[in-house]
Amino acid sequence: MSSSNPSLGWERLQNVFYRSRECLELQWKQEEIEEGLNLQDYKVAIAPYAASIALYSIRSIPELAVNKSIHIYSGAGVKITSISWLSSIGEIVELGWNSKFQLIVVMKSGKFRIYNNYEGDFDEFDLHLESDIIEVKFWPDGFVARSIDDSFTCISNYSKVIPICLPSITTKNDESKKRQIHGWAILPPMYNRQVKVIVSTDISVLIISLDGVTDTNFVGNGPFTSIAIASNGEFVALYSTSSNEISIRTADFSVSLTTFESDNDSIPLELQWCSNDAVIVSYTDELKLIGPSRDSLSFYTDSVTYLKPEDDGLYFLNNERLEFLSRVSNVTMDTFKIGSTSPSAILLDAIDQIDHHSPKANENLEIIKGDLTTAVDNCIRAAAEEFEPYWQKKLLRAASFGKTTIDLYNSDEFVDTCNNLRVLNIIRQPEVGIFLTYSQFIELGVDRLIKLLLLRQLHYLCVKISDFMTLPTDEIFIDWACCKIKHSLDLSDTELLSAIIKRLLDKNVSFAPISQLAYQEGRTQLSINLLNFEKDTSKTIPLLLEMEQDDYALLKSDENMNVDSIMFVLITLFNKLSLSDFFKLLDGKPNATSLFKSKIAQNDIQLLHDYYFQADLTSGLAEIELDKLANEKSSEIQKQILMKGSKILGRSKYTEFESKRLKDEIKIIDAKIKLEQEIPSIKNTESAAQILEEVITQDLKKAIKVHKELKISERQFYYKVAKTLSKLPERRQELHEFATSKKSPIGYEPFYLELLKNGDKRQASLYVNLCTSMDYRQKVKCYIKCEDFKNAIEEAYKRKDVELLDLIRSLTDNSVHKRHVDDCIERLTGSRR
Amino acid sequence: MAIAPITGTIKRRVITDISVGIFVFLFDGSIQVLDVVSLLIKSKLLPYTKNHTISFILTNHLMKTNELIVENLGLKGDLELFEWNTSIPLIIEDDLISLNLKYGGLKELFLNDSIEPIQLLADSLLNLIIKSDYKIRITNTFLKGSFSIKFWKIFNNLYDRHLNSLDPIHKKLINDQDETLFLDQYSFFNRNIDFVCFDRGVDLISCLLTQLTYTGLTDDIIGTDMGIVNFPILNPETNELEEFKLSLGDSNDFIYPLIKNLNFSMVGSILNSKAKEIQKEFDKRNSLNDIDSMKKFVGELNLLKDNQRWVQKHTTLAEFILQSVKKGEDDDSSIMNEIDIPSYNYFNQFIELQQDILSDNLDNKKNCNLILEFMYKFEPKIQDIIKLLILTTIVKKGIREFEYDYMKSEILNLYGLKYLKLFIRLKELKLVYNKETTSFLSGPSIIEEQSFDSIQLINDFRSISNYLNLMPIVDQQDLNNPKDADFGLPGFVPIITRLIEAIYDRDFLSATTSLTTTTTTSSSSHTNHRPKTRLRKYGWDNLDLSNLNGEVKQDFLITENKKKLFDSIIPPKLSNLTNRKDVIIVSVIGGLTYSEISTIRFILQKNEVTKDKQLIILTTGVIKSDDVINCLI
Repeated sequence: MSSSNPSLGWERLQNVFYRSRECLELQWKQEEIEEGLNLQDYKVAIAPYAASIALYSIRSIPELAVNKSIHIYSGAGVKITSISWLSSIGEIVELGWNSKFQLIVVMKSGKFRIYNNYEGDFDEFDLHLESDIIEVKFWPDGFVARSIDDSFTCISNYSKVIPICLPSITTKNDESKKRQIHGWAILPPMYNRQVKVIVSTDISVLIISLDGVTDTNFVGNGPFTSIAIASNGEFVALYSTSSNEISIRTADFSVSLTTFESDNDSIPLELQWCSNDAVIVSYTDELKLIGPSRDSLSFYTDSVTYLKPEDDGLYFLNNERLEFLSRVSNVTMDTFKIGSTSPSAILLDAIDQIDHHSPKANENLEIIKGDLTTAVDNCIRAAAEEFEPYWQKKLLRAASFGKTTIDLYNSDEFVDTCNNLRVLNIIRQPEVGIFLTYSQFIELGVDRLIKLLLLRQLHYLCVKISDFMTLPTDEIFIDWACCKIKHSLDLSDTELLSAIIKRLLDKNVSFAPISQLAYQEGRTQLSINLLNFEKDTSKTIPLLLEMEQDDYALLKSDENMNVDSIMFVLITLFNKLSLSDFFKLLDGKPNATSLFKSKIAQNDIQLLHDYYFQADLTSGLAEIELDKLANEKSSEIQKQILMKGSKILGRSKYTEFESKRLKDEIKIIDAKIKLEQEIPSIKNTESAAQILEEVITQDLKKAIKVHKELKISERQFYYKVAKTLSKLPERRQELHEFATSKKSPIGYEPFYLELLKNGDKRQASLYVNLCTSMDYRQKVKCYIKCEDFKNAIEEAYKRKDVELLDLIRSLTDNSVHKRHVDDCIERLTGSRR
Repeated sequence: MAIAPITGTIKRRVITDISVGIFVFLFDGSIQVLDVVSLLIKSKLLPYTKNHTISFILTNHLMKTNELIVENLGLKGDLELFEWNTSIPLIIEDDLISLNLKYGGLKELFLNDSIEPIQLLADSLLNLIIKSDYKIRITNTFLKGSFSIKFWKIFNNLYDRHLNSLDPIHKKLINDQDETLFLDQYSFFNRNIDFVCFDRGVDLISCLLTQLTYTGLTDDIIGTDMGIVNFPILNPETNELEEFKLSLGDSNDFIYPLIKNLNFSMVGSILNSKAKEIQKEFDKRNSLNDIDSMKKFVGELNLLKDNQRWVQKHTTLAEFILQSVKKGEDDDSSIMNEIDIPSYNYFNQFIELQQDILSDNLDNKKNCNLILEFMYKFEPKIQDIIKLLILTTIVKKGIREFEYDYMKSEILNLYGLKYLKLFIRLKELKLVYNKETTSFLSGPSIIEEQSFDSIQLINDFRSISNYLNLMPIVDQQDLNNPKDADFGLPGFVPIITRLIEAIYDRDFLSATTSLTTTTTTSSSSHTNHRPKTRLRKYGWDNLDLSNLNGEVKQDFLITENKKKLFDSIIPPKLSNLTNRKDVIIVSVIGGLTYSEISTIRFILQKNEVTKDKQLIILTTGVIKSDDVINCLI
């Protein structure tokens, strides 16, 4: 059959073609012999892309009532697993799937489970409902449950389960106005749109959203038992059993698009959209496809059919087969339609000619010369759509033949299509049983496909596909190792470790998740051993802590020198251990210790003190005391702190001086208190020198006595006096007396400079002659700076420096000084200028 | 929307806006603030609002820790955490990238011995590499000091982690780049990337000295923040103080690149001549005689005006600096210039004292006396005195105990007891310590043993100074065209600069030896270019660093299978290298000063081989000498 032209299976609906193609023959037919599998007896949930099928028997067989199972099959009807379901767990209302291919089981009581894998691991949640659930409808990321009291509850995100109660359609206190619900459908949330539920009641169609209930006032031939919303959310189809009519309207119910009257009187089983442009009604033995006009197509079936709509078509499942119903795309139509003269059709024909060694092949190319690129492109795209490898190959050969004659053709699409089809053909095999169409494959993406295959534990296939598509294999190997641990109950920790390491050592994968699983499985030693292979320390830390390997965790993070990891461990341990145990652990971990000090203890003086105390860090303890001192106003307490600080510092011979200095400070405080009574301004001083300055300003004689009490050196004292008194014009005489009363230990330059700085040149000049370290030329210059020309001239004259005298003369305009210079020069040289 | 700093007062302000329902907190994530905020949320927000969303945006890079703390506080699930990546460093100048940490991170490094600044720097190097599309592929590393070694280890951890998180396509891309980089020796020489990293402790001298370059002096005297200078200036017209603001390194600023690296004394003349040039251009308008030249003039007018503005701004800044530099100097110094008399110029005397200490001309007693004298006379900020003490300690390997005790006592008398803590810290960090009285019998003194875990890494200053020619004797110093990198500091070449120079050139080593024998040839050997046509890299081989403590690590990062190719490198001729993309990245953990940066630029420019190499300085901060002391107070 494979070589027959695909167009033979097409059915025309107006100007478009539809076709139904068999995807997989269901293997469960063989089970029929034993169990008599008939889909009619089951609740059926088809996963996205018909990748898995869940069945749950609804036959009331007494012996099976206590212990039934949910069976999960592949798309080819091969059993993957069975989940036993005790009736004590709860009565199942509906089965569904989410976009991660996880099974959702909703129970009558309002509880529901998400099965994370096919091994029966699940998370259970509760909707906390007041009344039982009677009906559930799913969309890929959530579901809406209808309770017996006609209230709707919605779960819109499986990763963050928060039940949302939708507004009630009946007002509570008015029972008489209660509307009866006939059919309903979900308008799934999209972008910024929130979930909505369309409800057909005996009066009209209502739309329920989180904000409230809107009455569309659409009555039509209602009530409608089946409602279907197109996947783009823009159109809605409603089936009225009373009139056997299908109304198709825009989703806001404002515009009627078409109304179709069915010729099949039996009760429809399901109403679904096939892509966005046709509606399917299933009856027990017929599928009716209704297009935008009033035309329809019928596909007859042998048994009950279940529908699963997708963006590009619709899967339908019955006892024998999984089939895919879809519209024939324009490209495929052009290529295969009998008598088509489109470029791609002619290019495809050329391949036949080549196979028959006919020279007409080149003629074909001549004909489509101008459209060759289109022809090649279309052949590639048509190949992607075909299920039969025979036609895929033929079309790709045609494309490959065509593109050789095009200059600079970009072959990316060709290569991608070849690769993708190769993967698709493999997973479409009954052994895998995931029959994706090409566009579904693109939509799903290889990485999610790999995740799906991992759920089925097809590790080898995953690795092969990943290698072929140059994708990372890390996740696959990790998953493999986890499965290995779970399923190898008979192996010892050592055996398991070597088995895992043998496979994974050169793969550069993260060992932390494997270790985590080993720990959960109770294999602690294996877990620790695995962690040693983990390169990223930040991942090992939380695990080590979980395993109570406190010291090792801290050591590891300290060695790795990652601030975040270290802090994580520190905070965990700090909250968990006693302070002394905590400090013990810190020992020998310099990086952790420094972060503890700077980030945790920084603002907790008591904690810091405890740390310094146990570590016997005198300098740290002293610093704490000194910090206290800075904020202390009372001089009595200040003295106590000083004593304490002095004692601490006295313990180490390296801080002998500092210890003594603190003790001396007590005397300074005493002196300060005493002086304060006479000179109140001393209160605000911060240093001994400032106290001294205040005293000097008040009483120089007292200062001479006080500076010794304050332990201020003679030299500092003299500088202080010079600085302080030269600022006060009325005290400059006193300053001079002080300076000359005995030999100054700092010389007289400071006096000269201070006075000059304060602008008293006359006083400054008084000190020049006292500056013994200066030679006469320097002195002359100083005198000149003080504008003391008389002394400058005298000094120069004394040294008989005529040149210098000349210079002085040039610097003054004063005739007296000029004459003075002239006199001196005359006396020295004997001649007058 | 209410934006308020997180303080006690926020509590009331947020509550008034409770109807909003969306609360975003932006803060550093420190434990204290987290405590305050969580308390606020638990007591004031959660009980009153139902449909709220609360988010924290945290800037401390510790997402795992933050999550844990939030969980411990019982707020998990009530709020969402976001990270604000602040390790993207700031580009201050074309070749200068800084994390802008306070005190260059020195406080964390010195006082807490914390790896946090190191990790931030490693983070930003990784960021830089990612941003460059992995074109920055470090080929050679030169590391000096334990922080630097730690840095490299942390960086490698981060880099491995990053590589592991990449998808295979990127991994392949990086591999391919490696392959082509080491394809042959030529491809390598064009694109090798040297990474040089120092601890601040390698050279605590140059960061303590007064900076003399234009930018350096500006930073010392006024201070810069992210390259921006800000100070009040008297407007002569209104007689009021106005704020003056100048962003150094502005891309439109044509004059700044000309003067930024110069010794400040050279800046005035350049500003003058540029101002004259611009005036000349303006004057052209008087001689315009045809439409075309008028059009041309008008077209250039805006640029001309802009340029004039820049010159004016820099002139204002330079004058301001000059004023404070000249403070206390004789204004009529023209007369009898050759005679020195006592003066009150702080700037000059401070520099003189630094030079005296460095040249080690003073005996112990004189050295201490001069420092004290200087202190009595000027009563300067304590930072300057401490700088002199640290310099003395490095040069003289300590200060004699009785002298140090006396100095401490006098310093505390003047500045107050609150600085006692500073002295304890200086001692702890061995920045200033007592000299052991050397007896004939004792072996290596205790101090020498201790100095190994000091953050200050100079072990024997006199030897290292001679060996690396840190204080070159230059006859006829031409600061406009300096021969050596001593123009940025008082006659001192930073050790960091010399160590970078040594990787590519060893001329300065011969300069010292020839100097002792024949002083005259030393200068001529500089001008007389050896036929340096080959791109040779000396690295730190055969460089005697025994007088600098701290680990040294030098590595050639090449994939194992290519090693053979580089077993015997014949450096290619310089003329064969076109389109060069080789880079040198210089990092100093703890920051470096503008003057140091200028000298690094200078030595790389001076060398034929490194002239066309791109320089990137990546550091924890641009610091100045005060920062080194302030981080300890």
